[in-house]
Amino acid sequence: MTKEETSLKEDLASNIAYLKNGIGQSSDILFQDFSIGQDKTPAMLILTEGLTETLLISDQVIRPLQHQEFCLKQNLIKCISSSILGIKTDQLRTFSEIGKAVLQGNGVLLVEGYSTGLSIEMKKVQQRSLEDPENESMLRGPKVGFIEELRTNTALIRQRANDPNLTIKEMLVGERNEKKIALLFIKGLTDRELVEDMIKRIRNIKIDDPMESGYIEQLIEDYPYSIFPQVQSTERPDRVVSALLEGKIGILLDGTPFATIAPITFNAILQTPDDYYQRWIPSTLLRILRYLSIYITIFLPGLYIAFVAFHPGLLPTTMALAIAGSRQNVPFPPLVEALLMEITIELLREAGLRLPKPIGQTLGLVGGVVIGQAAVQANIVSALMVVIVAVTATASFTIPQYEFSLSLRVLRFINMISASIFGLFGVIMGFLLLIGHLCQLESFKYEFYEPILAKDRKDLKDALLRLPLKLLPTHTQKPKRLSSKKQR
Amino acid sequence: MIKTTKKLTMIQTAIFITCTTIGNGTLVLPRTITTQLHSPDGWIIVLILGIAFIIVSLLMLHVACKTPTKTIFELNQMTFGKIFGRFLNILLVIYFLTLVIYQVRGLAEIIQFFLLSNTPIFVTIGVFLLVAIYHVRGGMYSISKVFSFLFPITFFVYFFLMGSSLKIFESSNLQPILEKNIFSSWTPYIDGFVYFSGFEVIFILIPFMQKIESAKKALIIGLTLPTLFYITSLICVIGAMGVSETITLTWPTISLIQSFEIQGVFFQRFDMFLLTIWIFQFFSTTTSVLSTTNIGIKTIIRSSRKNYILLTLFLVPFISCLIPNSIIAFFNFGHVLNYGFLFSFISMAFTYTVQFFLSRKRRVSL
Repeated sequence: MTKEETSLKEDLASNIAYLKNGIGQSSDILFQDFSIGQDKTPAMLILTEGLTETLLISDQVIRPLQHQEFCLKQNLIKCISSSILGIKTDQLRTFSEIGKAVLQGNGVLLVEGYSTGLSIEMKKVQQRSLEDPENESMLRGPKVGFIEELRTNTALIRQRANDPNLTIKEMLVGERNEKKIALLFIKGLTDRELVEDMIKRIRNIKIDDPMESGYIEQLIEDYPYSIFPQVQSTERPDRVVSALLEGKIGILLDGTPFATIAPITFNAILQTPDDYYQRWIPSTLLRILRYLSIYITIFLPGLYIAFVAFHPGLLPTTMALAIAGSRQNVPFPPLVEALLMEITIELLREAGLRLPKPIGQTLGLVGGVVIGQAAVQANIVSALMVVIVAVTATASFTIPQYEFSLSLRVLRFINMISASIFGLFGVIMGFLLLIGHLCQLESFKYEFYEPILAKDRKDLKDALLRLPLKLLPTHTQKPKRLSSKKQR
Repeated sequence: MIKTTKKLTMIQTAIFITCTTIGNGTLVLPRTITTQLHSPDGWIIVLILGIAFIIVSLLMLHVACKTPTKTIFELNQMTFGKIFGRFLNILLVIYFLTLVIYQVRGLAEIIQFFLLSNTPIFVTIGVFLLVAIYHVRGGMYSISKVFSFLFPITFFVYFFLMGSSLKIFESSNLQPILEKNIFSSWTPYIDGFVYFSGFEVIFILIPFMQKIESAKKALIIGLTLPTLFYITSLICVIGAMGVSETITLTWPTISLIQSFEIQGVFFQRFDMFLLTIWIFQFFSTTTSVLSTTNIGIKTIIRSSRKNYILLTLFLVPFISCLIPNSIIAFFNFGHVLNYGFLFSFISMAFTYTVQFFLSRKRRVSL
């Protein structure tokens, strides 16, 4: 598409010719000519087939115009624009505006003798129905997820949050395919500098087509080279609403059901809305379990390698003997053994993801059980290794956010390799490097990770623990983390 | 641009001081002090030293708080002029680097002895320093966050281990108290003195603090905790092993943990936990002192070439660490550090005294 800033002329025929040379070369653009009123002023309606409600447009626009009497000797365009009720109209002056409007699904009306076109919003909305978000299923909570239509998604949010301060700011991103992007925040609660910073970052995005919110996320985050995601993506409206109430920003992109929440903290990744829907004691325990599962996911295979290959003496004697016994017939060093099994499990996981759901589950079960058992019997790996790999894989599934568990999987392999070179020292150094990285990360100029002792005492009520709701600060008075930081 | 506050709270400052101070000490202190003293009263000496340190450093801090935006390096150059101040700063930086070298080499010796007997020592040192430099790159604030993460782990594991060593504790080993005159010789004090090295970091941390009023509280906590660690290790080690055995052990505290087993728990031996937390603490001391050096060098040369300074901070300790060729040479090197610490302590006290009188004079003239 060339950037044509050429203005419309009064001559309808030349306008049409110009347009036919441009967007008119595609066969789904429809040029419908008709005449207005009794003096038969020639007019042309341009629309995209499939995107526009053709029936509605002929009923509501063309037919009344053909028989109209009231606009005689006036500015026809202005008059028509004010006579069509209940439909959003816009006056257009350049060809590029017309092209854009037509391709967005609006009908554009051109009339002989006028150098302005009229865009009439007649979009036919193509969308699926609302469904339970499959990737973020929960035992309790609303069973509605976002869909691909931005308007429906903002409506889903509005339905749940009718605070008049909830602001939805829309912008366009994309150089070729422009897409609507909506910034959601609560005025007065969200740090204003944060909002301005976010708007600036989105304006600076230079990309042909942001196909999915994943593009946006990667282009606005602070540390693109970091292994951790610094924003959170979700399909659940309730998650976005609760994030908004904490003073965060929600980002919705047209064409994807995944919303983005920013800035986030390490703790927020490990929390689910479920935590607040259930009673506090089990929620707290589950939260601690998730923290534990991070350590298991990253360090368990590495520790196994370190102990078996370097320091069997540090293990209890009976255990060291048991491990040595089960490894007696295994021909590989521990690293190879662990890598074999870990790669197998990653293969199964990836394969299960691509297959249709029922087959994927069967494959996981068959693959896991059969391969594990057979590998032990064939003396390729030891039985303990299979146990460790299975526990590690299970632990990695407890992390609520998929992107985050992906980073942990990568870290696990790094840790295994450093353990195989430096033993326990390697594991500890890997741990220190990880902590150092986490402490240096920032998400939109907010701290990504804060250890317990570095926190505000008030925040501790809802970090590792989830105390009863009565004790938590009510959001309306004091937002949970980010704004409290601001007030300090 | 939104700024995160990036300022340390009182607790963070206290943990920063503690983590800088306890490094090598807890592992070797029982031997060094007892060797000189030949009596189980080492813990009284540490207690006296701790209290003395708190009092003296509070006096220094009192003056330091009057210039809350200046580190000791900047203050040196302000008080004594560019040339002499810079010279003093260079000496301080050299002392800090020596401290780093001592820590890193000590760690490498422990690693080689207990964990990686076949890996060449320069590899361990290199890996350790590289990770430390990565932390230094993040700045004081993120380092303090790392410390606030590592310290609670250290604290709980350490006191759990020391508590479980009470199984083989015999109070008769600690008696009689004060049989010998502990004031008869200075040497045990000088030996104990060096284990408080690193607390000077408070005079660099002052500009990084959220509230300057809480600096004194932070300093008291930050010096009490190491004293507590040292006293616990002295009492537990001597109580379990007795004076005559302790002085023969290279790393008495590790030997203590190795000497007992607890049945019925998943792990029977706990030396690997002690080693882990002690690698944490060596690491904390190293990063903290390295970043102090970093700030010092930046004050001296006023250069914005961050990466070159970091490279220097890696290369100088890395090469110097390999100079002591045996563990005995390394412990002798530790004695040199005593004088370094004495120098830094006195020079800082001197600066603050001069500053104190200068500020008073200024007030009078106003």
